[in-house]
Amino acid sequence: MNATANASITKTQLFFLIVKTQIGIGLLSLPSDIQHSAKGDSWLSVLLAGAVIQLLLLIYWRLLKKFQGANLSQIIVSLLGRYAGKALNLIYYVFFILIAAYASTLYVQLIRTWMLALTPGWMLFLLIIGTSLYLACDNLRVIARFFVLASMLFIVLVLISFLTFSHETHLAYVLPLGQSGISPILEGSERTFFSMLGFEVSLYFVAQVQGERSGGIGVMSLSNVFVTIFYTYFVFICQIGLSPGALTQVNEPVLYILKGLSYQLFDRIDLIFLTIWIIPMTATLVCYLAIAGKSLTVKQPSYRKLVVFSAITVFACGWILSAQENLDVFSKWLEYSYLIMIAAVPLLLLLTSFLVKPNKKVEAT
Amino acid sequence: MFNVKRKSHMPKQAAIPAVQLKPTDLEQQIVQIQQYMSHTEDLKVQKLSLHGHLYAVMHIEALAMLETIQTNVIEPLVTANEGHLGQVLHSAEAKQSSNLVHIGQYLLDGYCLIIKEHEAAAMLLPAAQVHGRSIQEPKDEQVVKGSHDGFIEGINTNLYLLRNRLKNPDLTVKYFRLGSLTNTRVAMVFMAHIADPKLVAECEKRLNAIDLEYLNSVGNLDEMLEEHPLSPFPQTLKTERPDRAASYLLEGKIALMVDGTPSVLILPITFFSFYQSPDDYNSRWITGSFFRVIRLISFILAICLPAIYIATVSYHSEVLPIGILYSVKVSLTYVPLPPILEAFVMQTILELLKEAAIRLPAPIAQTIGIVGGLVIGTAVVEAKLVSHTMIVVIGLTAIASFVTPINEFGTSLRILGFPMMLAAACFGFFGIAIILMLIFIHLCKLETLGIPYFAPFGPFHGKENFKDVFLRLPLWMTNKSSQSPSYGLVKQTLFGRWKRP
Repeated sequence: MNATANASITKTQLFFLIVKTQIGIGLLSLPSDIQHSAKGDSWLSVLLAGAVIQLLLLIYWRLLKKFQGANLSQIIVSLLGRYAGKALNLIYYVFFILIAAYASTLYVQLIRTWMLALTPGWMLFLLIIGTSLYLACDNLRVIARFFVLASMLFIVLVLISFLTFSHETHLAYVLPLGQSGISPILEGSERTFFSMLGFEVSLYFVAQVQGERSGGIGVMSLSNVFVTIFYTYFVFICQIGLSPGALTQVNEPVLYILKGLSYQLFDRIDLIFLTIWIIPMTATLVCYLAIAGKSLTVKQPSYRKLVVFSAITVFACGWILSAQENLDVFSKWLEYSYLIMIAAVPLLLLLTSFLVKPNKKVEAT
Repeated sequence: MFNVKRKSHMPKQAAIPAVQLKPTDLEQQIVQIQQYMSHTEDLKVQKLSLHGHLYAVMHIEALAMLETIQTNVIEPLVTANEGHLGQVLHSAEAKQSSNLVHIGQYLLDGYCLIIKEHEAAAMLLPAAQVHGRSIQEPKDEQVVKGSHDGFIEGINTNLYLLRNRLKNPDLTVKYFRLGSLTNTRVAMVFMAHIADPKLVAECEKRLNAIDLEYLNSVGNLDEMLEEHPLSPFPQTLKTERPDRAASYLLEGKIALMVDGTPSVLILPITFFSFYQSPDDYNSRWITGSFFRVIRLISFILAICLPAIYIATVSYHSEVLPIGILYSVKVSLTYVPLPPILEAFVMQTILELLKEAAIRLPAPIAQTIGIVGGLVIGTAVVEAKLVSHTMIVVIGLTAIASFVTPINEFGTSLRILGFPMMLAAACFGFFGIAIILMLIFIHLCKLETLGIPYFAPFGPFHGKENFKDVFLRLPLWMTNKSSQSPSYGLVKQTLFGRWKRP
């Protein structure tokens, strides 16, 4: 298992890597979040957010194409030089860790609300982060293998969601189109954008795709289209399945619409849905641990150590975060500063790359 | 990847100083050989005096066949005129050596040794007697349709069985001697142009690195070769079926045979191989695919079913609608044990029954069946020690684990069931999801000889490779296997079959 730090992945694997990172905990509460602002046009907000992400992906692609075979951390080092580059990479690392910690906090909260009300939080953290660590410390090819396998579950999830059509559905809830006007829709897509985070992993993973690079943007766009449609679909079924009033009341509408379903063999489809949903949620953590590792190191042995260290940090941060009364302030701060990191910084890097002649020798940090 | 104790390995024979047979007096020569063979009494010596020369014919009584010695050695010696030993004695595989180590080796292989006084070079003629079991169908890999032959303990017969199936010049055999005390013959068999040369080289390297005192079975070999000793999954496949072994060879895998064991070790192996059976290919594809699907369902059932039951009754009883919930909970009412203990107890009883019945002669094993079925099954429930549902669940799990065509794999599944049950008892559905995830991550991480264990899922090779995984699609739709990338996968369709009208 030596020298496999840069083990190559196929394009199909890249697709599933991005998709699995993006689809995670955010979706479950998304419909009610957007409902507050965009009302009946929530699903339009999702589509809009997908379009914005597509623009960002184009920027990423330009940047990645300019530096073939290098991931973001290598690009930064070659553009900004050794010390400034390393400093920026460290900031990225901190953000990835914080995002992972935040996601795991939400994850644990969700599990405690829906499944295990009495289990101590640290226990759940330990299980979740331990599982993610077990996968994340291996090379990307292994991670990709698992993600492709786990993606089969999306089929099951979509099949389960079809059951909701046996409820009363009211298409009138989303009509007329554009009822809430432009600015609420924009506000809604801002919320959506944050729950669709995860596409930034492509900055690190595209470099390891084997074969010709030209198809990279195609895969990235395809995964974005898939995720956008997946999100839109779930937001849409929540909108037509729950009344606007109820939608603002419940925390996790996606689970809530499944809760009422009852069949002869089993009740509470939401629990089964959530059990399966645990896997995409963990996958998101795995990806953040992996890119946190990749942001600071290239070699496999040091990567492994770093991932172990990151996992411990995420555990500690998550525990501290879960002890907070109110996460709103923190999450607002985190989300907006993260937005700068994944939108503004790559754009600036792209602009810099036009001005600066890049240092040809990409330093292996 | 693989812990090799000695970096550069020397062949075992070279390590022992070569002792030469001295061209002296016949008596002294005999004594020299007897000394080397530790003065064993079954080393028979017969002295002959012919044409003024003294000869000694030696063989180990138990290993050599007297008739062969009589016709091939004594008679030519007596009837022939004077001449060099090599001119008088003819036989396929005749050897000449003056090295005591070699002489000893051949004597132990059943050769007959002829020495002439004042000559260092001794003649060795094959005269071994072979007592093999007749070729029978292996007990633990029976099929309904298909060939009913099986490997036996002799390596030559086993190679005969393979050669007989694959009449192909590509079939290559390499011999090894492993075990410094047992000197067991090991054969490595592969198809030269189908198996990946890197794979063959790596396997050879590992075999050469093995430093064991005694090699008893392929199981020992397996332990010395496998990369992940902590994994619950077997990483090599042991089979006693020649048709199975032959088909793996055609897929580019390597078969290892050990003299004295009827099993053949196949490596590298993938997860899905454990769910294939020759039966699938000998019946129509719809039937074959149906059984394949049933088996894969059994995989999930065998590891999850008791866990799901435990999680449901102890955490998420709301998952069951009121009708089922009532009958499940009622049977639980008077049971004093918590579900997890109930499951552990029943699972242990099941393993006990299985272990007890497996080695007993058939008439006594029937008693075990009655004790197990009636006493444990019925009485335990009537005594309200275990609930009805639990009996059903454990019974189903056991049957599901016995469905796997390779018994060893089923046992791994039952072992995996225990952590699963524990997790379910501690964390409900969440625990099940986490453990399942760990199992599948582990499957994705495993690699044997550089081949992903979970292929074709591992590296997604496109839909072509899935034609023989979940389903067994008709032969004319699947591909010819070939490992070399330049050759690619060749479709067997169109010309391989009469054209449908």
